Amino acid sequence: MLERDTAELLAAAGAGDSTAWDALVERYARLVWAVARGFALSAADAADVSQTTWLRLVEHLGRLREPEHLGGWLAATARHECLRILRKNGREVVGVDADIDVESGEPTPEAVILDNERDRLLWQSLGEISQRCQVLLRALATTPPPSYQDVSAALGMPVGSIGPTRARCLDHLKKRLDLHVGTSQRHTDGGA
Amino acid sequence: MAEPAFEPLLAELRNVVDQADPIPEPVVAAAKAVFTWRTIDAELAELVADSFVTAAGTRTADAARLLTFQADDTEVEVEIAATGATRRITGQLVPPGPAEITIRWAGGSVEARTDELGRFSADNVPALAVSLSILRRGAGRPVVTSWVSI
Repeated sequence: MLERDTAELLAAAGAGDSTAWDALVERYARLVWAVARGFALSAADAADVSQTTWLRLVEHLGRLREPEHLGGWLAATARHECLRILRKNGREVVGVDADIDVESGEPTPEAVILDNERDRLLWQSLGEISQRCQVLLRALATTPPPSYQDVSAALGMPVGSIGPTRARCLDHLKKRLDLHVGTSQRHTDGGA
Repeated sequence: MAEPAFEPLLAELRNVVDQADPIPEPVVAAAKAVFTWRTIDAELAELVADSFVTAAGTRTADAARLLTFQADDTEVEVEIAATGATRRITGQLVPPGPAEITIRWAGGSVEARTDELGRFSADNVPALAVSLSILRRGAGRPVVTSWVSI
């Protein structure tokens, strides 16, 4: 149903209907953003990736071979742009696809204010798992929920490995969170 | 497919990400605005080579970046050099021939003309996503290159 809607919106946008275009942006902008931020790009670079990705779609209107897989196409385009920016910035790209935890050496995403302690620890934990897991979980956490096909495009992984990888990434996240929650509680108990 | 045990964690994560890193409204607005860049009746020259991608690791910070765009009958080779905050673009049209080049970006554009060898150049191009529109003399429709962030 959603797929057919997307193909219809694409066709309408290709015919010049700007409201159809706006609807496509509303539907997929968060996925594109999630991919860029999952690669730990700065907000400015993520905005750049978003802009280039949507410009790419504009130029490909009427040229997409599988309009029903637009989410995957956008995710893959965003992924390529992210890798391009990482190289442009001289950052190491080799580890991006590896299942290696970022650990605490790398700065976590910009400090944000979260009132809830558990939320804060979960956000911190997300910044500490592998880059691949961050991209995957950020993509999965977008609204509307993307298909496994979209997520596999964001990661450059076969669709069949998304399920197991998803489980592993959530497990990593959970362990990190439990660790921080434990530390935080001990700290609170000791200080009380 | 999805293990039910992890569903609450994913829901929690969704909530945290929405709070901590929502997509900025200007990013959504910019994505909507690019629709005005739709080019009807132009042939697309795809980006087929980018030295930033192929020569990763050997690159130095001030090295020029080489891009190649390809359409059916036209190839455009472009060199991007950083000149302070802006970029200098030099290009080569293959096969050569007289053409008018328009370098477009969000908020502006600059015109250039090829010489007899198919070369062209433009200075002070902002470091944004750009696309080149190439209209060969006598051609019915322009060739536009894929957008690329420089």
